Amino acid sequence: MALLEITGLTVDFSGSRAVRAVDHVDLSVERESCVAIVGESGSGKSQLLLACTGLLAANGIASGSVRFDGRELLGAGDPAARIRGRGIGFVFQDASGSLTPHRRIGDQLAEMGTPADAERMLERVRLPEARRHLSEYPHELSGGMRQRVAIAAALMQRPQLLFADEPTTALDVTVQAEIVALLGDLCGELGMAMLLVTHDLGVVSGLADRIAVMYAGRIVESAGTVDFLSGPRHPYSAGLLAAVPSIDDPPGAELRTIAGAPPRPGTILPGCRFEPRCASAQAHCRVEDPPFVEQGGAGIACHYPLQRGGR
Amino acid sequence: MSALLELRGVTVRYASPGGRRLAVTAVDDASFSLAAGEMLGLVGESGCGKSTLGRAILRLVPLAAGEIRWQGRRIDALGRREFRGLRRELQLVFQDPHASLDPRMTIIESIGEPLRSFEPGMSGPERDERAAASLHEVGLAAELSERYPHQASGGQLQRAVIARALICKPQLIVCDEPVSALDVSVQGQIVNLLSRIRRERGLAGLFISHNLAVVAGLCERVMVMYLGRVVEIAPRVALLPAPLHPYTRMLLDAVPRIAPQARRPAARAAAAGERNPPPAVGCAFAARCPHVLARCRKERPALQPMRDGRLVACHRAPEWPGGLPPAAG
Repeated sequence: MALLEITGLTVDFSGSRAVRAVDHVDLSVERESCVAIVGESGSGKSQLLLACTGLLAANGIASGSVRFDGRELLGAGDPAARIRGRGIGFVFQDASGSLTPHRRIGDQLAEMGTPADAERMLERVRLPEARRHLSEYPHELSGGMRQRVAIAAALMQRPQLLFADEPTTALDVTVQAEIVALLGDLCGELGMAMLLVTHDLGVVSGLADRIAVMYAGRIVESAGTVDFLSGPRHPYSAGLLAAVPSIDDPPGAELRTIAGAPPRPGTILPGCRFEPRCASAQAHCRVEDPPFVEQGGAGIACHYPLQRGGR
Repeated sequence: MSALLELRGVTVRYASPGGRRLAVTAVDDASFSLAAGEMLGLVGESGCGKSTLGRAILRLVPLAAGEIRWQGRRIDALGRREFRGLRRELQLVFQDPHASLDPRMTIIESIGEPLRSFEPGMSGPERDERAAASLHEVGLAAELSERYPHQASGGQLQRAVIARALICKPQLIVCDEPVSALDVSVQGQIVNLLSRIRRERGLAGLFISHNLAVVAGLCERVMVMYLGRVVEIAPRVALLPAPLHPYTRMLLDAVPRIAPQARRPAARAAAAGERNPPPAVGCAFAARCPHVLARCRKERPALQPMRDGRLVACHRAPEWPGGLPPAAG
């Protein structure tokens, strides 16, 4: 049994216009593995994570099932909060949002353990002079150091699973690489699994064991990272990979793009959601929404997938 | 040939709130020039002063020292009205298109708006015609013209912002992180658009970004800033394979490469220099530099000319004329 089992997870927002942000998503995270959900803004990737953590906005309703270590997290109220509190840690994009600005770092961390635990955890996230930082306030640290402290806070309860929502996006490039390396090492050292949400394929390529690509509320492809990067099968995944600019590109080369823009939330048409932007779409794609089919550890929702290695 | 734009010793300081602490020097003694039709990339991390430098050129922030010349003429000391006449030559594109457009104006109204200031005699229909042509040039469908910003996507809005910047036929366009707020699949569309427009119009540009890969694709020359100082300027073809400044090397090493077998380096400790303000003496990068010597902490390196028209501010750069190799991962 996987550590986290998401089945048929759907997130609806009510309001003047009903919006379905996540649409029947199935995803599992094995123990001690790292799964990355990759998608563009509005794909539903963050809402998926928020639904799992019970942090949806007040007008959001999650249905389906999210089982952590065999126990249901959706709609379970207080017990679910306790399960999450013990077993799951969170790291968000904005570290200053995870820390209280007017309390010393040591006091914040020690809420979830002893001051000695707090110091050990700061050492674990490779913050030099950990003891000195315990008596500092969050604003006295750089953005990268604050994110290290936020990670330390998330790990104080020794969770089995870490949710990380764009943990490097707000950071500088040189610091991003360091936080990615840190998260990878910590998962290994603590035997922890991670569900990572990001728009940055560069971040996941060195960190994730599996990649799931989300588009317009659905997972359109999932595969092992090496297989995925060497030959994505969904035309959207292939386009996304090709669109990442590389410093190895010849000078002045045109960047590859995907025509058009993702559908705006709440404007889902019949047929495949990617069809209006897809270069290999056929008439059938406009009519029938392709189901997500899993086979041999990889899954895809496409009527006409690309051949692996045939990019 | 005289440069289109030339900066000498440009320094910008921000007073700290309340004035209790020392002012922050956001840009410290920056000098460079830009030829007509040239696209110069400016890279650096947040807080390095790259946006402030872009704004200083358009006189959106005052200079504490230094001078700026436009076609040989000093423009930093011009009066408001004199500068206004020049302002149509210099245009600016910001990161967030939602914040750049008036939410109560239709897209076509926003695009035509600069003409009201710079071509006050122009008739309404003529203005609409120019705006429609500009809309077309940036690849926006005519049906978008009557929409309001909230009815369009980020990529479409950034095209509209570019159309507005181009409508007065400027000679220089300063783009401050123009694709950073956009999705990856859309970023390339905007970069390709800028690339095509500058080719067709012979437009010069300063392209500010933290993303070295985007800058490298678009610009012939790249300038790197660190904590307010210009540390290296070099043609792209020389900089990427053989950076001379250790900070440029660090930036290049940090660019994630998407490779199936990519190996992640082991986690390192947070660098002590990460949060330090620039030192009053010595090299700004000394606290993080793997090649630091005692001299680097005492003596500030000046921007020195090297081979192939490159400039670098590093005492030790002459020791590695062939460039610094990638750090061992």
